[in-house]
Amino acid sequence: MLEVVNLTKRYGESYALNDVSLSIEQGTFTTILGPSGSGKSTLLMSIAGFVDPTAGDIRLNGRSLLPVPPERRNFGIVFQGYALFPHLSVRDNVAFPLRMRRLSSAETERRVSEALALVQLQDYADRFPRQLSGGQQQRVALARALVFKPALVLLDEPLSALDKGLREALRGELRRLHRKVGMTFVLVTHDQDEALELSDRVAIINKGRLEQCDDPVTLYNAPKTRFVAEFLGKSNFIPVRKLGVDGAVVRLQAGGVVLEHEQAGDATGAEAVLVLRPERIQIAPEGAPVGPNAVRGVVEETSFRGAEISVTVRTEIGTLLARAPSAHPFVRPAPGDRVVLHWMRKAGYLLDSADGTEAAGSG
Amino acid sequence: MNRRFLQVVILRGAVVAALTYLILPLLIILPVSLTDQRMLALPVNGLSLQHYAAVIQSEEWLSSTWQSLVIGIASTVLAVVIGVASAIGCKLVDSGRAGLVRILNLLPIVIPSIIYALGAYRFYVEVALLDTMAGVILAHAVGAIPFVFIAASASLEQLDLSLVRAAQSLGAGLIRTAIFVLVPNMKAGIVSGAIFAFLHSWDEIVVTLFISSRTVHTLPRKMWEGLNENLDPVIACVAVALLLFTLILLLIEQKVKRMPPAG
Ligand SMILES: Nc1ncnc2c1ncn2[C@@H]1O[C@H](COP(=O)(O)OP(=O)(O)O)[C@@H](O)[C@H]1O
Ligand SMILES: [Mg+2]
Repeated sequence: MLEVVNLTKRYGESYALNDVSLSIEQGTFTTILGPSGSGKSTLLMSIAGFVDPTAGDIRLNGRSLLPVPPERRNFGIVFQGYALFPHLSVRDNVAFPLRMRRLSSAETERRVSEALALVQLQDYADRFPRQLSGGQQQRVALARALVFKPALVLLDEPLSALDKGLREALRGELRRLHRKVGMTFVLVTHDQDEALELSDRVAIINKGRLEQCDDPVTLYNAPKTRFVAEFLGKSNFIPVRKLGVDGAVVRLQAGGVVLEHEQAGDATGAEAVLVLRPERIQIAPEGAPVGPNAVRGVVEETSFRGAEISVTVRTEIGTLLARAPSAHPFVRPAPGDRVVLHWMRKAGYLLDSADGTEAAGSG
Repeated sequence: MNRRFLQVVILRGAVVAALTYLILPLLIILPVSLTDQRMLALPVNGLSLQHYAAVIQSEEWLSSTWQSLVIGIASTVLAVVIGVASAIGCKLVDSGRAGLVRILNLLPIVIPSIIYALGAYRFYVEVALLDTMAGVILAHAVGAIPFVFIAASASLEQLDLSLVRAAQSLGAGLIRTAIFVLVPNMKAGIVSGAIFAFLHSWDEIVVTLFISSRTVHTLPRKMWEGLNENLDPVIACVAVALLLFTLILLLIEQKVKRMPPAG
């Protein structure tokens, strides 16, 4: 198990990492997700040993890694630009870590072909990196990072240089590869879809601080901060005041409307923010029979996105974004239409106002 | 005749004149080396290869050539090892000391050779290196380091530093990273630096005059003495040979520069 303990890295007065603690279980796929400049690479490179932390510790199975130089940490790394050795063929690139470990040439050969087969590049062994496409280079980098059976595989935005189609194909391949080799993967990305699709756990960092580390479903459904809610897809943020609790149901005052909310959320104060995903909000024509949480409004804007349709509605409690499958019976609300938005008691997630105000604006 | 044509003619004329001015002194040695006279002069009654024959038969000139080659190669090897190692160190070590090493490596081309010659002379007396092959090799190597350092640094400049991190993550320490990853990718810079280092030694005269006397007599030193003593046209023949050799090395250097970085 890898543990990052109160890790801090300062450059002059600014913090690239600020008191980050994280633990990563053997064999899992963990993603470090955050916007550009949030400290993702600094965290990954600290684990790799290329960045000396200002404070804190990094431990592997209980032993501190800080005194261990990068070449003895035995971690496979896929760098952002792949960093393949231009003077070596694909075969020799992949053999490099084995030669550094002085494995016999028979064993080296066996493992290299095994690794190349794993990434389906057997036929490219004699090519040089510059004769390969971006996606192929990427796979060579993967083979090279896996071939010596490292204790940990670190990937720094491995897919971000590729175009969209290839990126999605390689995502699937990465997931399949992880299942197959069963090693511990730590991936850095700023792409939320990539993080949600690939990972067992996602650690979201913002401005050098860890916001939340959870499995993708929890992260999406129960964000601990407004930043997390906003970074993982769009959300509506409705400022509310708690009126009272009735069993599992909390009654909330939003503008002139009373809302009912059940279970999820750990807001403790009287002032809170209700986080509502657009796809959890139903749209109905005005006057249709609806459940407990219903607000009236006028459609401001619609946008068709193939499988779904996004609708912006100005309501009595503020402007809300809703999303419906485009095959929905009430298909095409047009701007100016009067509609009712409604949602189930368990649709939202309640945040403390303090957490909710960290990021400005709403989705 | 239009104006543009006139401009082109004037420009071309100027270029030819400048080149002639630069190259004529070099070319003059060619006819002189083929002279039929018994002194350093242009041919009078016809061309002759007699002085070339004299060079090839001269024990002294051959031994000078041999010494120059040995000194050139040995000092090049030394300069390449030191210059390349310094360039790599300066790139990898991110500290104030890297700046100091950089300055040290460039010092030999900044300091006038006559001053270095004086210093080397005084120092060599103390350490018994005066008039030895080892002494001349050392002195030439020092003078050649900047050429290697500059060429090696330039080729490192174009290299992605993440290669170094990649090598380390794969289990190579700094030394193996330098040998197996950096040096192979600096090939063009190293060859180019080595050629200039060799050429530096090949025509070095100032320092050599100070620190050698009887035992060591490199080609330039022997030519200089020949000029002072007897104006033997053999000198022109040697000069032509030197020039050809230099030209060949420069052509190789140009060729290597255009080679792709890998295989
Ligand atoms: N070597 C460095 N010197 C100074 N500041 C740095 C250095 N490396 C990173 N930073 C700063 O630390 C912050 C985090 O950087 P980084 O970890 O690369 O972000 P990310 O990978 O999430 O885009 C950025 O603000 C960046 O400018
Ligand atoms: Mg980064």
